[in-house]
Amino acid sequence: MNSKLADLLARSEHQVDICVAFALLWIAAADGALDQDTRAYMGRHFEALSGGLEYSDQLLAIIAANDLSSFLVACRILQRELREEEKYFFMDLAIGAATANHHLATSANHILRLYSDLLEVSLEQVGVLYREKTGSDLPEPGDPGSVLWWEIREHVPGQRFSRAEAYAVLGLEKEASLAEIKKAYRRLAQNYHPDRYVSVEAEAREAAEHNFLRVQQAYEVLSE
Amino acid sequence: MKDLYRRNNLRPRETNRVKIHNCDGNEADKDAAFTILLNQDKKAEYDRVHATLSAIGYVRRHLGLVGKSNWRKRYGDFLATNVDADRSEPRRGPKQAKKVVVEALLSWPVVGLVLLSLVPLAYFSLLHGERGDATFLPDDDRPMYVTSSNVQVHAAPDPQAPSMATLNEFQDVEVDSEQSTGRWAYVRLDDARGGYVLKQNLARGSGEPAQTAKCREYGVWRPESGQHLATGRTGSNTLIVVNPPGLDALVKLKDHEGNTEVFFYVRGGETVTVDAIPDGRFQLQYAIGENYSPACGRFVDNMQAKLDPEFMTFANTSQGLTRQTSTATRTLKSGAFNFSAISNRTF
Repeated sequence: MNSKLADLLARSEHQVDICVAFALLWIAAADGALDQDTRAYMGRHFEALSGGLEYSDQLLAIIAANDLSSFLVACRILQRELREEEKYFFMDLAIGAATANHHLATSANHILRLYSDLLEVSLEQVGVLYREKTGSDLPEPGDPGSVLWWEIREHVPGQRFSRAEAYAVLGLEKEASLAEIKKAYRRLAQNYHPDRYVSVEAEAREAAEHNFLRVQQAYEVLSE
Repeated sequence: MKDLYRRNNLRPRETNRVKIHNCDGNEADKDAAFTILLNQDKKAEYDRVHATLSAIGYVRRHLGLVGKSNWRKRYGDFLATNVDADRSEPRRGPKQAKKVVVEALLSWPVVGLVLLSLVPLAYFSLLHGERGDATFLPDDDRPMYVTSSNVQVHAAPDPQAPSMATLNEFQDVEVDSEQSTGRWAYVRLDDARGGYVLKQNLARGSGEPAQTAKCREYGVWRPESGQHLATGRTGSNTLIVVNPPGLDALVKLKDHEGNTEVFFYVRGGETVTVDAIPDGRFQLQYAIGENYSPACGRFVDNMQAKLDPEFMTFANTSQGLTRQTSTATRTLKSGAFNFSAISNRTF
């Protein structure tokens, strides 16, 4: 049986553009429905994609139905058709779509990493594009299947972390040495330091401040 | 991330306290299910990531992207062999699994078959001092093909050894089982050199039918005549292609480095005029067949590829206010312009 995307592509002359639009919508809608910022971003960039705007509702419906064959067709065509310079342009658009609302959803983070492997754009290069676009490092994807991850996420500022939570906040294994703890702390504190977020929007600044405090608190627990 | 549904033998829409309490998962997976799946907000977020990882796992498995740099073993829960089936049928928990195993063991024909199959494996293990691999028994040099894209051929059976060549997905390889060792197969390259490839990247058989089956799985369709199937440079020259009645055709113009600049479709019995041909010297290739696969860029059935050995030149010249472009016509018919047959893989 044909994938839903293949049925749609059959009616168009712009298969590659539609697959690009599909892949961008997948990452943009990874956190659920598209919010206003993301819609505005997609609207701006879809004008250049033939068929992107015309088919966007149908593409979103295919994504919502989680039609696996369609994801496969889109990825296969992008892998085959995008040229070297187009791959970087696509990754840049994908990062923009993933962070248009100043928040990188866990699902979007996973999809970015899939595109990195699919198009053979290294994670370091994706990291550079991400930093240029957002001003911060590409984080590791969160794990909503872990109880610890939820405990850290729901941690009330000022409340003390357990040692296990503190290691996880700094992205370390429990066997990490003091030198590794210090190194991770410096890197993350630098990344989320409020001075770097003076000129960004309030929402992104607050998120950075919150993360900065968590990193500090975790380091306090582990350095005792 | 763990797949808490599969690990606890739960269905996403039938998850409640009693089901989790009675499920087969280990204590840690049960605790996680209680904390995450019984909280509406947490479950909603978990389900979103779960759906994404399932789709990513499906794509990675089918495109040979498992083991690439962003792949992590902890995503292994989402590499189900049949995701659709797994959605409706949760994985068997330890209790059911034990029951099935016991029932199977009580069946005498099964016991006999298991014992018989162990004999050659045990012999092979004794010979080679390592775990036997049924697909690589001695003197078994049947053809094999590559199952992932960009597979490296190493100079020695070691991932750190220098890479000698890169193999493409579905490429046929000749394996020398005498020189294969452990997890590594020794393959002979076209230039008579040999090198080592991880056995997990090879499968028995020929790449062509495997590729065809995979292409069919992605879906097929019949594009319109003149429909462009790939983007490339454009220009103002014209190519007219006549496809006699019969099978549909794929037409490509390739430059001297083998890069495809123009790729379009012509239905059987139709003539198309493509008027955006870029300047340059190109070789025309065409393939007739049935059931075009957009994901693979080829026909799935009865494909026959041909090549015009002569290069065609398209040039856009200007003299004063007069602008002149090139126009060429080709009829896709054996004999005309001495088209010669090429392998479908070359197309």
